[in-house]
Amino acid sequence: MSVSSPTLAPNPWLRILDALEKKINRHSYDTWLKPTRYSHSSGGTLFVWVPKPEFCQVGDKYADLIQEALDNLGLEYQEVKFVPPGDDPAATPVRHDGGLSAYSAPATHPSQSRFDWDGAAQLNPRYTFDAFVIGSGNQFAHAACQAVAERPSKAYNPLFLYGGVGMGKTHLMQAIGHEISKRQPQLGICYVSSEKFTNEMINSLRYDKMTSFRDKFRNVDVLLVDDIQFLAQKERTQEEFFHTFNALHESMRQIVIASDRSPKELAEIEDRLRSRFEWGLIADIQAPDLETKVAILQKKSEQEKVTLPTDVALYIASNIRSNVRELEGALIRLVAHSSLIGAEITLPYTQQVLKNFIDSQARKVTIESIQKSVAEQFGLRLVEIKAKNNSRAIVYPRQIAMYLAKHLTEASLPEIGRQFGGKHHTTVLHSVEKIDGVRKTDKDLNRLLNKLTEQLGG
Amino acid sequence: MAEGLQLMPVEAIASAAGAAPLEITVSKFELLRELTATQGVVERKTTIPILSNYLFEAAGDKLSLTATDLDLSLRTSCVAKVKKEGACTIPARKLHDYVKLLPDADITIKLLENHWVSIRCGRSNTKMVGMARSNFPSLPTFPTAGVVKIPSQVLRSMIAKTGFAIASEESRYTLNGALMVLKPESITMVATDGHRLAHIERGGGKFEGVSGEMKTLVPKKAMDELKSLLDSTDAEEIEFAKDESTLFFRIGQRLLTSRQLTGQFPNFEAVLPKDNNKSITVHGEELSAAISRVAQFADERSRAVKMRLEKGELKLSASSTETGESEDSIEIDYNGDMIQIGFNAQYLLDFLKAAGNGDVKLEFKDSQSAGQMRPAEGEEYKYRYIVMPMRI
Repeated sequence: MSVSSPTLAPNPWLRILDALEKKINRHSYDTWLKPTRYSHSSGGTLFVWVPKPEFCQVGDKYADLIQEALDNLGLEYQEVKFVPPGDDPAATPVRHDGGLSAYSAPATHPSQSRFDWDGAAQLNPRYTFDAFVIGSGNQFAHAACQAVAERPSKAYNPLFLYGGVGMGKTHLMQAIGHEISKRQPQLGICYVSSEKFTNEMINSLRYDKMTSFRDKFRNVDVLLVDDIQFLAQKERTQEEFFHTFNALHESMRQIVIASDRSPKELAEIEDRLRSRFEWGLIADIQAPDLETKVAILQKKSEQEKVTLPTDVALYIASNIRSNVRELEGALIRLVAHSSLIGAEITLPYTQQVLKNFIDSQARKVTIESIQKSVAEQFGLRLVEIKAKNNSRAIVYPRQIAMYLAKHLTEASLPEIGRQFGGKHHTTVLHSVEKIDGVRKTDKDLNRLLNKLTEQLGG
Repeated sequence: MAEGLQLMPVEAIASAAGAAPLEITVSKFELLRELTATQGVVERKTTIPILSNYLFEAAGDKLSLTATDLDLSLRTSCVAKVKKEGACTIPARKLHDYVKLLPDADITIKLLENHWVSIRCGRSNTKMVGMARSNFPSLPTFPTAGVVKIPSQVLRSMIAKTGFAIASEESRYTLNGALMVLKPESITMVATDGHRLAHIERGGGKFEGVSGEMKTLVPKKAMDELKSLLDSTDAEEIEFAKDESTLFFRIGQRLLTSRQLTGQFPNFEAVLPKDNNKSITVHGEELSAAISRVAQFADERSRAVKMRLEKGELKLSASSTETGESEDSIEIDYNGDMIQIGFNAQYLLDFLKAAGNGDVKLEFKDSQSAGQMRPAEGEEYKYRYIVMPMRI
């Protein structure tokens, strides 16, 4: 009865499955319920055949939904039992003529696992889909990654993920690796940062081992390359990567790339590579919103087996504005502190422990914050500082702002010039030098600069 | 490619015989023996015609034969009456097939004009089309330093127990060769194709000329040739040496050279199982027979068989939609947790055949982890075989 013919009424389990399908998300349904089969009924119990012993937990997991379906369909079973193959002879699928069906397993092809020399084992065991908190900022990227993990090289190839620092690109990328190795253990997975790729290539060139280098990278089934922006200006590596990419893509192998910026913004990467990145799907990961940050903190604290009060979570989430890594860093700091001192985690305690952490967060100096402070100081509007207006009243504050920008941020002269409305870098340099000179003799200016510097937190 | 061979100087014995037209007499028995030993090296299909030929060199009281496919070369010799020293090349396959059919008598070989070679034996008279000796690639010279002596039977046994596990075609992640590790007191051989790995170690030896650890990648074809040579030799020891590009194996009067494999042998130490806590001991032949029987009904492509360990019983089973299903079981002394794990039947049988008679120990962890197998008795060899399971 494992085959339902169109003329026969669907067996009771099929009817239940139908009902369940509507209530359970597709991913879970496909994984846990789709492979099950109706076995037989006897004595008020419905026996369901499952392909592996692990599936028996389906009964527990979906107990409520199954019961609901039974009630709604008016099926009179006291219980539903899930039976793996070989376990209970009574559960072996029986044909209409009473004989044992020759093939008792659904057509899942046996797949030979391979040794994991240096592929998936490199993945961080914490970076799985289960451990990933989905929010509006990463929902799309997450879905794309899951699709790739479920159907490598058939869903989106290549998959290009990008997002700022600490947004979860590496987490998602490695989650793909874990998932594929779980579902299809015979596939070879390789995770590399582009820096490692570059180093290995340089080494191989040096010791004349390019054949084994190419062998390694062009024969994987899934290639995950992190931080592709580091290939900038590395022509030889880009060329090698170009050939690697082509070899893999042509033979229908999956490529996933992570970057800190979109392909269009990868200025120093060759056009032909950039265009290839745009072949498949590009998914960006944005900064998490407040709710997602709270969820991340709660999930992480659960993992660390620590109870995190909601107000504390909210506090941290509201005050750590940047990335997930900093968020987790704050949590770890808090947890470590409390466990070492033996203190309970409360909001006042948290505020105290994370004071410097959060202070330093808020005080990150940017060119914009400098411009704002200076504008405020001189009673100007932000736009005027950035404008082309060269009247004395505006030039002087502008020069001060440029000077502070040079000294308080890491920005280069051209970058500063750009931020000030497209000024030439020599203009910036001139301003910096001028203010530097004047401050030595003008005490007022010096005091002003100190005040602004302190205000800005540099 | 050819680089390794052509750049090396020609051996002394050959250079003396370079110009003169050779003329020798050799017994059919001796000649055939050497021709047969070297046939394996000659490639059937080759784009370079000279490689289908043997190089014959006559000097002193010896006839030397050389065959090569540019990666592998084998040079051997036999006793001969050398009337005129010299050299020539002769089609290898044709010569072997022809000499086989000759009567048991002396054969006279003479180089004629235009590189033709005359072969007379009794009333048979043949002229074969040869090629210029100068076209034949020159062979690397056996190094004078760094020579290590390895007992032939040891090497032979190790090759027999690992050679089958080498990947047979250009496959990913692995090399088409085995890793041989020589240390002052031990020799180890490892071979793998990514799915199973054979590892054998023999301690208690003394290998002079080895300081520290000497790792060598031996190509599959060289392994195969070595095995045949070791099977048919009386020599107690073989001499092994290598230079930057070539491996040398001297067995008796035969010299095998092989191009070295480039690349990194996979990090096999990382996959040696450490905590396989479910173990049983079974009779090797009994297990092998049971597996062979159920495997008849395994899926042809994957050859997957299921192994199930239960209290007191090892159950083997296989099934396929085309042929049916089969089950077998062996009584075992086992009291641990139940475990069910799938394997490629051929991989199991390969090991059981190599392990020989006697009991084998099987060690498992879970259905997704590699299983380990080894002969139950220690002997002087530490032999282990690791197989990755199949998801059935």
